[in-house]
Amino acid sequence: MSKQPATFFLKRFVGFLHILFVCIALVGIGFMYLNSNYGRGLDWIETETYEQSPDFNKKVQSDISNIFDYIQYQEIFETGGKVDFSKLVLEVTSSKGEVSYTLNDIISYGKKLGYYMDEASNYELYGPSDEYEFTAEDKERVYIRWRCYQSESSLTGPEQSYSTLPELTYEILSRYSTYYSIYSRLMSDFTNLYFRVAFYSKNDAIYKIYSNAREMSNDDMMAMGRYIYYSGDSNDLTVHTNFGSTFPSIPAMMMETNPYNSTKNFFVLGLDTTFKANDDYKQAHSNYYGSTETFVLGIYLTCIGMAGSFITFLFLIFASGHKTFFDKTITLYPIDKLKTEVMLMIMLFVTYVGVTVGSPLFAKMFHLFVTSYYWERIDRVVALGVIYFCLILAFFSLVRRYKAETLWSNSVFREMTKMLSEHTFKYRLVICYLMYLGINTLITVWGCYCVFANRGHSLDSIPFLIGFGLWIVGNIAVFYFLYRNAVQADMIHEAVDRLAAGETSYKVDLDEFHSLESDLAAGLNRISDGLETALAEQVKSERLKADLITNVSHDIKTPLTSIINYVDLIKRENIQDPKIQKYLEVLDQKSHRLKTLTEDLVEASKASSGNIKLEMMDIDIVELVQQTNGEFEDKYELSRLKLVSTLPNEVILIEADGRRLWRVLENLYNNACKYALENTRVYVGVEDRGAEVVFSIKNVSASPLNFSPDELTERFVRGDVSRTTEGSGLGLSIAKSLTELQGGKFKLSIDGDLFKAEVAFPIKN
Amino acid sequence: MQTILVCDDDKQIVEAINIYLTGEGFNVIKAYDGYEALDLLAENEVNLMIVDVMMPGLDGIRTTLKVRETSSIPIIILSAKSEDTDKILGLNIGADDYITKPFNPLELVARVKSQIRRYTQLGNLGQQNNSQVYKCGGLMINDETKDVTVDGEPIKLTPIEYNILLLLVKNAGKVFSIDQIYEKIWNEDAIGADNTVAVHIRHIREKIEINPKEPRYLKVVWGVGYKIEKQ
Repeated sequence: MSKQPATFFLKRFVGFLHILFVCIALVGIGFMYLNSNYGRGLDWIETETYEQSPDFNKKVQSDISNIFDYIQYQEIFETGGKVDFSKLVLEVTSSKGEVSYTLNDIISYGKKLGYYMDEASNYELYGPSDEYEFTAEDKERVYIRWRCYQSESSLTGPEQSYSTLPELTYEILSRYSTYYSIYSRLMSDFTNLYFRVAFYSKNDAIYKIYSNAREMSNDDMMAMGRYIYYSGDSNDLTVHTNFGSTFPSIPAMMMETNPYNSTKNFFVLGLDTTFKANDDYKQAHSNYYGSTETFVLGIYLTCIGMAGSFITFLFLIFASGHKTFFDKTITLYPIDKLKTEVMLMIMLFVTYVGVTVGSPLFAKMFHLFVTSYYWERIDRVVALGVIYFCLILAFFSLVRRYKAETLWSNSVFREMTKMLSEHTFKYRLVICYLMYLGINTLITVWGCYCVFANRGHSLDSIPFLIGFGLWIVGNIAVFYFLYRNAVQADMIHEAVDRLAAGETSYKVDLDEFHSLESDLAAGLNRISDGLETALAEQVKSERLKADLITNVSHDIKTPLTSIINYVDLIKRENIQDPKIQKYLEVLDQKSHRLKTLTEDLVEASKASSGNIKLEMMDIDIVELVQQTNGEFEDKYELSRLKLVSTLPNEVILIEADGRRLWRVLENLYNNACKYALENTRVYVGVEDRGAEVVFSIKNVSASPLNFSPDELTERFVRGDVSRTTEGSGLGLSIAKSLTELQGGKFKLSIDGDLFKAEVAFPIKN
Repeated sequence: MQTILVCDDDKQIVEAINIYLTGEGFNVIKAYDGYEALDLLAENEVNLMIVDVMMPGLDGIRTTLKVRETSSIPIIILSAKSEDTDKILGLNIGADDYITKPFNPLELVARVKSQIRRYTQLGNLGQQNNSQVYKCGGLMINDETKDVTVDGEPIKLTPIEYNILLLLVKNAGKVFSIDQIYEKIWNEDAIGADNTVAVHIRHIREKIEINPKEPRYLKVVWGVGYKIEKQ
């Protein structure tokens, strides 16, 4: 009892840990995502220094451009190395006539317009003020006769030579601001970047040198941590550098800036990588290592977060649904009692809402701390977090359902299939067909809409292609199912036909069947099995019966031998008493009858069970009948019967076992001999009926034949029901079985007192 | 006096056979299983053995095989097993005759006598090397004297019966149909031949065979004809 709260607490704790780890992982991802090194892989972390980073190279490149800009602007704004505010910068012709403006004039006018340079942001130009209202004078388009940054000759069109005074002011001031920014960074403040640019005219005596360290020699600069030295022009270049890049824009810029149109010039740049001066290089240097550390921290956090969340995740999967660890029953929350698909739909909806509504709200919070450059990334991280937490809830619901075994049983799909399977095949077919029809119509209508409404313009749009693809795939699938069913129906049809035709061992291959037909096929196979077993059982029991009868007959024969022999011995004892003689006669007769009965019983059981080995050969049935007549002639005479035979005078061959067929005829002749009325004729005949030959024997019965012919061939049914005369009553039964075993037909008929037996065999050509 | 060994586990049957054979003047030794029979056979001079198949211990088949290893005396198997396969097996392993139970005492005695006569008279019968004498097992026809004997016993036949038998014995092993026999004996076409031949054959069988239903010499090939078994 005390365990329950402990487990409950542990689960909550691990759940909290999981959230914590996921947050850690997200923060780690955020660190990496928001880092300036994001997207550069991992190789650089171990090996790269700031001086090798792309940021550094970009910065140097931009400062090289700055240096050349500065060289140009210096000509415009400086006199003798210092800013000259009285320097003429603009000459225009306006309504006031020809007017010249000095730098000071322009700055004053700019201030009036609201322009200012912010020292904190590196002398960037801001303005103009919104409050200033332009006068007519300000709006006047003036003709530019000269401006400091562009020579008159290079004006190309009339449009470029007209402008308004505020526009020109902005142009000049923005240049001034750039100049001043470079000047303050490279020339006046302490800097780690030293440079010297020298241009020589063809005459070496005339030259210009621009540098922020005139006291340093070229060698001093090239002794610094990073340096680059360019000499000559683009036709004859010498370059020495230990930068990662050779900055190939330098020669072009040198040519452009060179006032002498000569090839003799050089460019030296050195960077003190000990960063003695506290400039923006030093700043960038320390920032760089800071962000590298952040990135590495991000990696660690991500790894720890993921590992931790994975372990806690496994634990939660294991513990999910259990109230205590030893409790086998699964506790379901209300959300777990919804239909599986409904739950999934709800969770997907929640996820969607979370992503579209929730995550922007969260993201806004993060936007407070992060520069706008990273907003898109932070949005993604936040969205990832939201999606994760929504999906994890759905996932654990699935886990609990799985454990409680309600994942499938409590699903809409299951409900539908159950509903379908509760109906008959007819209803299922109708429902399925209607569904098929509905979906097909829907897609077709939509397809038509796409085709006609868009007049074929967007037929290659992805939704249309997907829809069209689904329509084709769906219809092929339906056709495939119908086709498969038809194939299965054919196979079942064949199987039923063959089973019905008596091929009881026929089996259908269950692997070829699916779903509903599979049950049907299995059923057919069971029927086939049942039939086969029943048949085998019957054959087996017949055989056992025959064996039993044979064995019993052996056991009967031994004592019977003694009986017969001793009766015979008594008879030899010359007994005078007629009474005893009469008794002995009965004993003798009955013991002999028992002997016949035993023998016939064995033969009958063997014949009817087919347990006889036949020796089939070609025999002449006419010859056989003649032979039989010969065997019986004397016997018939004794019984006062006349044998009348009608035989064709030709050989009629049939395929039979001669000895067995003789047994058939013998039994029939014996039968007639025993039961025919005295002093009548017995007719035997052989008739060729084309395809078959028929032997017939007819006699007039001594006693009334008050039973059906079928009963005669049933065992132990005899002409005289009293069973006193000789014979076992098995003769006709044996004859019938033997005939049929050899492939013949045996037929008895009764017409009043006329008894007729027919044995038919196919004639062999 | 001839000595006959009778071996059957049923004592009453042995006793009955003893009575019949003693009545016919044979000396009978009784055994009740296969081993006893073999012992008695070794101790006594026996002329013929009657043995049952189904016996405890050594059965009739194996007893016969044992006897045949050392002796060629006639052996008659007496068994309740009446199947063809049983008879074929018994005769194949060396028995001279096979009688099924229940047996007719007269037939048994006749067969015993027949076997003994054949066994003892084989020697002197062989000396009559006459071209007019036809022999088939125990059946002998002297065409000169028109004498027919079975195991030395003279048989009386009508002229037609004699001619039919002679035809068959001369061509022992060959099957003659009714028409062929008729044409050969009567020298007439067999058109409309009645049962004459078949009746005659039956009469011959009744005269020369111990059991006409199971003939040893004149066999019926049902649906084909008749023949004398070549021996």
